[in-house]
Amino acid sequence: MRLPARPAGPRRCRTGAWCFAVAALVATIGLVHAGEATDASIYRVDPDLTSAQFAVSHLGLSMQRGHFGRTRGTIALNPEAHTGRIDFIVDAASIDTGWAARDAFLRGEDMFDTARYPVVRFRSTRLAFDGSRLVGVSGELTMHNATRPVELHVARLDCGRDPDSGRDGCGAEVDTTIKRSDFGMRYALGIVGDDIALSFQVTAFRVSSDDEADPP
Amino acid sequence: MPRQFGAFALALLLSVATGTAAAAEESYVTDPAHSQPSYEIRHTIFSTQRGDFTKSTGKITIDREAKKGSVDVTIDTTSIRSHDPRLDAILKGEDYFNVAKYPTMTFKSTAMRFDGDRLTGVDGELTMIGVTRPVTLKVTDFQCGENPFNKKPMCGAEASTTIKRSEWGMKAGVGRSSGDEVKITIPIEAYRE
Repeated sequence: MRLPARPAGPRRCRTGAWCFAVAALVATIGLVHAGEATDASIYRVDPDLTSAQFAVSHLGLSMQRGHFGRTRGTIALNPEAHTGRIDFIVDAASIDTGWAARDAFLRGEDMFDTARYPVVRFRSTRLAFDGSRLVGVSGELTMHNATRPVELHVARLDCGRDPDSGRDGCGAEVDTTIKRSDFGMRYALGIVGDDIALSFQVTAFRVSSDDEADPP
Repeated sequence: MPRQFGAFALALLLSVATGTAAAAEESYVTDPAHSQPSYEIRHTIFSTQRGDFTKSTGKITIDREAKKGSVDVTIDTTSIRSHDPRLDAILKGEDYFNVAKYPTMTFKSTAMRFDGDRLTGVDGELTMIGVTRPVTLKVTDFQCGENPFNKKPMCGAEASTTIKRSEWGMKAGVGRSSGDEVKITIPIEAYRE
C-alpha cells in the first residue's frame, strides 16, 4: 500500500478538528502499513508436503533423526515491502522416530510431556530480506515449558505454480539449532545431546485471505 | 540423575579419546533402531520429500592398522515410510521400489577409504530393484566408544551419498513431478561382536 502524496501548498492543519482528522488518517494508514502489508500473499502450510525434522547426537556417536507428522501454519509474505509473518504449529505428540518405544519415551514426562504441552509453536517477530529474497526469520519458539527467541535461517525459497494442482505456492528449506535445555528439557543431557538441529521442508499454498488460512 | 549421566558421558568421552588401537580386524553389527537410512528428493517444483527405512541389518568389519574392512548392509524395502504418508503405497508399488518383487536392497563394499585410522569413505555396490551399480558412501564423524548402559564397545558414524535413481531404472516422475537425485543419509551405530 502506498501512502498518499502529500498535499501541495502550505499545511492546512490549523483547527483542532481538522488536525485530529489528519492525525487519525495518518495513524490508520501507518497501522495498516506496519501491522499487515495489505498486499501480502497469504499461504497455508500443506501438512502432507511439509516435513519438520530434528537431529540430535546420541551417545556422542551418531546423529539420530525424527520428525513431527502433524504440522500446520500460516505464512504472509510481501517481499517488496519486506514484511510478513509466520505462525507454524507442530503437534508435539506426532513425534516419530521410526521406533514406537522411543516415541513413547519422547512423548513422556521426561521429554516433551505432551499431555501438558501438546503444541510446539513458532511465531515470527521480524522477517529479514536480502533484496526481495527472504533469508531469515526472527521469532519466538514455544516448546515444553518455555518461550524463547529463535532465529531461523532460510536456505531456499521457491515460489511458483504447482503443475500437478495448478495452485500457486512456495517451498522453503528452513533450519536452525536450539538447545533443548533452554526449554526446560534437560533429561539425559550428555547421553542425548543438548543441541537440536531443526530442519524444515515447508510447502505452502496461496489462499485468498487470512480467513481461509488455518486458524491458530 | 543428571550427575549420573554426566559421569556416563565423561566415561564415554574418555574411551573415545583414548581409543582402541586396533591390532586386528574387528567385527561389528549395526543397531537397527539407531541406523535408519533416510532420503530426500525434490518433489514438484518447489517441495522436498523426505522419508526413511525403519528396518535394516548390517555387518561391518574393520582393521584400522591394515586400513581395510568390509560393509554389508541389507535394507528392508517394505519398511519405507515417507513423511507424506499418502506416498507410502505408491513408493512400495511397481513404479518405484516394487517391494513385492524386490523386498530388499543391499550395499556391499568393495573398498574402504581411510585418513590415518579414521574411516572416511566406503566404495561399494548398491543393488536396488534388481540393478547393481557402484556407489561411494562418504563417512563422517567415525568414532568408537562404549555404550554407557550396557558397557558394550561400539562405533558410530554418518554415511551419506547422492544417487541418481534413474541409473537403477527407477524413472517414474523424473523430469515431471519429482527429481532424479536422491540424497541419502545413514546414521550408524554398531556394536562390536
